[in-house]
Amino acid sequence: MQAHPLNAQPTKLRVIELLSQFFKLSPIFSYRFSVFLRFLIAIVGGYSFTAASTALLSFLLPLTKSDAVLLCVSLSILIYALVFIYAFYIKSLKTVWISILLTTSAQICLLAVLKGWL
Amino acid sequence: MKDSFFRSMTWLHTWVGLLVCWLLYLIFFAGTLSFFRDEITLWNQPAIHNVQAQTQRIEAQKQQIITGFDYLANHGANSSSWRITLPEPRIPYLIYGYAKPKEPGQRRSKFENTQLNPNTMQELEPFVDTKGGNFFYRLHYDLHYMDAITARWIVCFASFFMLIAIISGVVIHKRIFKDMFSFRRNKGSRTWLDTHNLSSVLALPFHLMITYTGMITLIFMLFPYPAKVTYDNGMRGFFNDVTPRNTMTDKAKGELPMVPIQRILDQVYTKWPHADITRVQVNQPNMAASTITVLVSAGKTLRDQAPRLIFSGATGQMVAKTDDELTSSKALYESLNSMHTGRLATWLLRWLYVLGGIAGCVMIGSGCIMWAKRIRERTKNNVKPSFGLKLVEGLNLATIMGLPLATCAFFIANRLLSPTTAERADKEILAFFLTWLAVALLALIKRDTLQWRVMAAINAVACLSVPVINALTTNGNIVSYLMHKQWALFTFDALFLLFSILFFIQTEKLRTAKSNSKTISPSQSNNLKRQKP
Amino acid sequence: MIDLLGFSLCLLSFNCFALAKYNHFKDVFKKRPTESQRKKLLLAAWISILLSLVLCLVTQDGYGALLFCGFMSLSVLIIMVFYNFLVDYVKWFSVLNSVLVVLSGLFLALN
Repeated sequence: MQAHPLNAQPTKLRVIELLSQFFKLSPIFSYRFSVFLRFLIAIVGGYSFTAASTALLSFLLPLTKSDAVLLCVSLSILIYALVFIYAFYIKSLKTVWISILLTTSAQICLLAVLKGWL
Repeated sequence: MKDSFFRSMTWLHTWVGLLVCWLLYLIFFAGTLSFFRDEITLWNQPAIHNVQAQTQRIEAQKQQIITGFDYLANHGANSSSWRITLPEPRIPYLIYGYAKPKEPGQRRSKFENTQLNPNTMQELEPFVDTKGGNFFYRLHYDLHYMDAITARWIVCFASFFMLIAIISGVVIHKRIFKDMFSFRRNKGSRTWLDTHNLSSVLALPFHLMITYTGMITLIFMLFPYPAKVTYDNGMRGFFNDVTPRNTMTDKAKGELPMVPIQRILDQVYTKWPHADITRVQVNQPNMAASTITVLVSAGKTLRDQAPRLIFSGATGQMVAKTDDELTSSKALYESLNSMHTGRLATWLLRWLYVLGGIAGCVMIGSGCIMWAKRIRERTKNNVKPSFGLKLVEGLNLATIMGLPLATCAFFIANRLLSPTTAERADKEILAFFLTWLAVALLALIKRDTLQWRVMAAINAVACLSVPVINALTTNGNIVSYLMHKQWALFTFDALFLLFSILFFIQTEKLRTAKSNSKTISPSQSNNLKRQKP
Repeated sequence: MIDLLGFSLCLLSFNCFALAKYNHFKDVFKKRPTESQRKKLLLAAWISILLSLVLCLVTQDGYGALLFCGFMSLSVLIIMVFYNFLVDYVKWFSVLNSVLVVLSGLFLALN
């Protein structure tokens, strides 16, 4: 559901808006599509969010390496479940997508800076 | 799409649950049976039926290990690895094994095992080739006929959906705690709803725990990222850090005779005077780099990694050991793992786990039946049922009734196949899946009350035939097990009789139920989805 | 024996919880419970379930928490069966339950 390459819109937001307008033409299709989008962000977005946050957390925690890793993996499913529920809790699909994408990329960036990958 | 949190959660619960319920039923079914892994293996292996439990099991261990070292030095002197597996309360026999030379294409070398009766130290009759309880254990997370890693991802995905379904279920059914003792009989889909609610509330802590910890057991496949980020050489570095390994003599070259095993055992008993040793492993025996690993039972502690001491075989010096006191993160991780596997459980807790597992199966089964029934009730008589509904009904019949029957087929095949059959273990598993396939094909044709009744009747007969065939093909039977206090075998047969009776009652209920061919009979009781251990 | 005490306390607690509900109380005693009766039943239920939890935790550590959850499942199942299928026997069952608590408690105290 990322920006369509042919759609030369300035921001991703506009693309989503346009797409959703397009899909409003057929109500059933638009419903199914929004359900699909929600599951997509909940499953894939939730997974990447969890992966990024646990990786960052294990790196930041002031524990020995193995302890930090074990603590983070033990919590990971909890984080994933919370993000998943959140994706279905918020009414606006747009908010969900933006918030999860933003926080995930922010965490990855922070991790990249800390690890010196850039 | 959704008006409120409440409605969105209802929606989520229904669809997330429906999507994976049959797979979850299989996972719960196989998982529940896995709590009896050792008992099933015992039943499948008539050669060990008559091995009496030792009266002085722990006291005899030292001598068994010393004898084992003599035996292995004589038989497997050139082997790369030795293993002595001592009897445990649920596994009555003793194994001396040494690795055979690795054949090309094998990842690990196979072991040449000698099984002994620990009371007489005589070799046992040859074992039949069977997977026993391990089949259900592997089915529980590796499924079958597919790549193990793919299967594990699928199982994790289903478990995660289960977790979501449980959380959303608690949110939407706030009333479940209010009416938790009420059960309305003979009320159609209301009864199914009550069954669903009751079985979930009943074991809610268990369901949450088992789903969460189930994913934790595979967590390094799901989320390897923390370890990858923290350690320079990724997962390998992490595992090397948390597993005790020999770093002191592993570079040593050449041959060196091993110190007498008594010297090592003395050190073990000095450290743990009441050690219940479960296994002794020797790597590269008679080499300078040889190690002797002594594993002891973790007992009732919440630890999944068995406490162990590693000695250098050449010097007799201790080179590594597991932590005596776990740090809090380690303790958290270990306790989550050990809760899932339930290896710590004594018989009381084991049965309580099984109760939780059965409640889980009932919960999942009643959930999918309820969905089909509701749609059925809403569909008008003259409207043709949709493809989705037919699919759900078919899958319900195939899974709920097919799995118990397939399990019976597995055990019957174990007794009826000749011990000399080539690839016997695979044929038993084939019997399991062929039976299941047959039920699925039947469900493809028709899925109304009559089919449920027929399946219940067949299940009743199959469950009854397991103890009967056992009595005919082996020396023991349910009465002799009772007389000789062979409780594991007795319970096994008795449970099959019990489930045979339950399936029979179900058949009767379905017969007397209103012959409304359109719906699955409402009064078929919830024993429908109980299963055999 | 410690397991039996823990379990019977848990069972007693859920028995009290069930009795504290209007419909179940009416099924058993053929009359409505008074407000003070309900409060006492609830109090007894909470006390005994906490006792059971503490007992399991203190004597068995982490293992005890698992055991306690299992006890709860089994208790709810038994109570459900009695209150829906065997209502006439609930009184006898409650007496037996209390006797079990006292006996196992005494046995432990004496040893």
